[in-house]
Amino acid sequence: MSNGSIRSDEVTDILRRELGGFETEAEEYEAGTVLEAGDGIATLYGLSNAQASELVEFPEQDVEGMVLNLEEDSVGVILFGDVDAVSEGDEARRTGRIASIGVSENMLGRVIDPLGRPLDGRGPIEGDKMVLPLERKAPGVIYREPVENPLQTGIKAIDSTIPIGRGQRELIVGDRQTGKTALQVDTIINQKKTHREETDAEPVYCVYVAVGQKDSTVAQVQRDLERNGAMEHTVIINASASMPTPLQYIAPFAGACIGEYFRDTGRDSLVCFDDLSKQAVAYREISLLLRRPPGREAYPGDIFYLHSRLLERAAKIINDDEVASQMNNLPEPLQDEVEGGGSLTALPIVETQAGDVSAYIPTNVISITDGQIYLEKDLFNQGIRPAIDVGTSVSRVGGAAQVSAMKDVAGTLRIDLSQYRELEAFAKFGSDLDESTQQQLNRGERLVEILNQDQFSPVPVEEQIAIIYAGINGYLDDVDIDDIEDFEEEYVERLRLRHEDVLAEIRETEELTDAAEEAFESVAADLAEVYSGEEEEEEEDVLEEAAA
Amino acid sequence: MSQRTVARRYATALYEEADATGVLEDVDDDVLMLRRSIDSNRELSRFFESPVIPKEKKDAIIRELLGGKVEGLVVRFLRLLVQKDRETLTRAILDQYQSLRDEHRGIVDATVTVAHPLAGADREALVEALEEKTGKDIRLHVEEEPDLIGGLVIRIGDRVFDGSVRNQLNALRDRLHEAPLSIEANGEPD
Repeated sequence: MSNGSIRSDEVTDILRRELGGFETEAEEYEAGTVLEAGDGIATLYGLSNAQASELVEFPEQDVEGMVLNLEEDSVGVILFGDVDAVSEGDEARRTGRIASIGVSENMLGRVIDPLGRPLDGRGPIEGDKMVLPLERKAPGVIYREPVENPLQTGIKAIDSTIPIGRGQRELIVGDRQTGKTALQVDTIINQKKTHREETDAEPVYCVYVAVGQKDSTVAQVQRDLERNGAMEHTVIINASASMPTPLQYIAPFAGACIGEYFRDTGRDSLVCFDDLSKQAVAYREISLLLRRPPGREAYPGDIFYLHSRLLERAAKIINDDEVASQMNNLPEPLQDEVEGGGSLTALPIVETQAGDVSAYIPTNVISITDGQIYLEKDLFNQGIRPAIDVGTSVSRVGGAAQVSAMKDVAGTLRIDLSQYRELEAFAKFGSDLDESTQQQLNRGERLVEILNQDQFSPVPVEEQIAIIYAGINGYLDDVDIDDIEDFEEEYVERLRLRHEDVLAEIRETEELTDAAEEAFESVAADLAEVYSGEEEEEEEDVLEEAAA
Repeated sequence: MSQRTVARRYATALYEEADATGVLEDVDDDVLMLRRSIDSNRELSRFFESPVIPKEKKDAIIRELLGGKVEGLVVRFLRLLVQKDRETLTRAILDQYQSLRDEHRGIVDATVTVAHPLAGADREALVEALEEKTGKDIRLHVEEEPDLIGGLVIRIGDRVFDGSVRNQLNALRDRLHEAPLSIEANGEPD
């Protein structure tokens, strides 16, 4: 306070006003007693009216919990917050609320925990929050539309061969250290473009859910997103390895909940789950502690349902406000805000051990999702980044969402690449190869090279089309492998300088016109000449030197 | 299976059998007497709980001790417990039987916690009020806890009515913590 002293009558006045509205009615609630507590689980006696997934509070300890098990004479609860504070004999009260979090626009740019509390030390999240339940039934058939708008990841290998549509669920599966998180981060960074005012693309709001990750990894992701200007449209939910397992279990649901907020208000959202195998492990721990019978790999019987009900919430909502507002299981606060045409795209990660995709969780999630992107350690070690195995990766619904210009250009890319992989294995035997085979190998090698891409450098779709056009049509065949990166750079640079209109046209119409093809051809041909010439010159130099 | 579940099943069996043979009232009295004896007589409670005493001996003692004193059904029931190795649960089963009977008679237990001792008239008024509210007969248990400062806390089953001064002070504290005090009206915000 600046003006010296506080007058005591002012304080009295405020307190009186507060007391004025204070009613002295007896509080009525239902209470139970903790029978046993430990490992993030508490068994309560009483609370016979509690509902599944209702929040209970432990008022003395200031801890909340969620009802998970309803038994004949006890209730099993998972605890959020200070797990060790709760002990036998403590009182637990029903709250009557289903587990939920407060969602608001102001969460963008923030790092929060699965209950919506800020973790980034930047103070409380301001503004009104909409309280939405963590568990919610996915929208039914009539409220959905087929996936047909592309979600550009900015990653050449994905956008060309495994296109992802808005509302799709595409799994990223691979061993540790193969660049799974990098794919998600790059995809989030690429959505930055959709938020620029000059583009007419619908903006995509992103949620990154870290489950059981190291805090240092999450901090790194946050820094990467910030440095690339992508944090403004992103919420990070962190349930790190040191947080209680119940929080790790609910984190993906919290992510889906925030995604749904954008989806149901007519906007597009992208939720990245990093990763669901850790959530499965957290759920296994909880289930075993609650004495639910273990099944395969000791996971509980409903582990499939855990992931299927989560990923089912990814959807493209019908573009009709009238129908959308009738949506099933709409939470009350959302009811008046519903708009059609929104979407929730899910990009879950599942980690495999030693490339074993036939383990329990990977097979489950593969069968739930609309396709998967395989990342392979071998490819990674060969220096292919992102280390996507194009042959085994698929996108079951994304094809309809691919930009038609890309479809024209990259139509044969998948086949070319898989044929190349097959031939490559043969070529290793070192036998003499006929010319056409050699030609195919040569082309394949260059196609693999152009799909290589650095981290944090998403490529706009029109440039991807231009690059792939050059590769598929053989303009790179005479360029040295090591020069391809330079070629690519210069090629795009020249196109931007001389044919900006062509690129802009592809961006807007999404069609590949004859004019565009001509432009690509002329620039690529010119450059190819320069690069193949250079190569010869170098060879001549070497010959001359040798002669001298 | 939890002990409670087991106890409930045995208690239900005893109740139904007593009801069917028309000795319900006698069994009620016997159960009450037994329950009191176990509480007051350590020897007796040890006798039921000790796993060291052989079955035959327990059986013989039960017959000798209770035969003629209590209803035949109760003796048979206790012998059955011994036979099924459930005699350690006797106390819990008797408790369950009583609460089962209370349910049937429409009697509920109400625990009232007060800061100061309850005067006789207040007590009656309270029982009356509760009986009106719940529509059942009330068996009142009074506990004293000076921490409440004033008022009272009533607990019936899971339901708690908290009208204590302590609770109201807590609510007021929370309210003052949370409420955005509008200081602008009185001067500049800091």
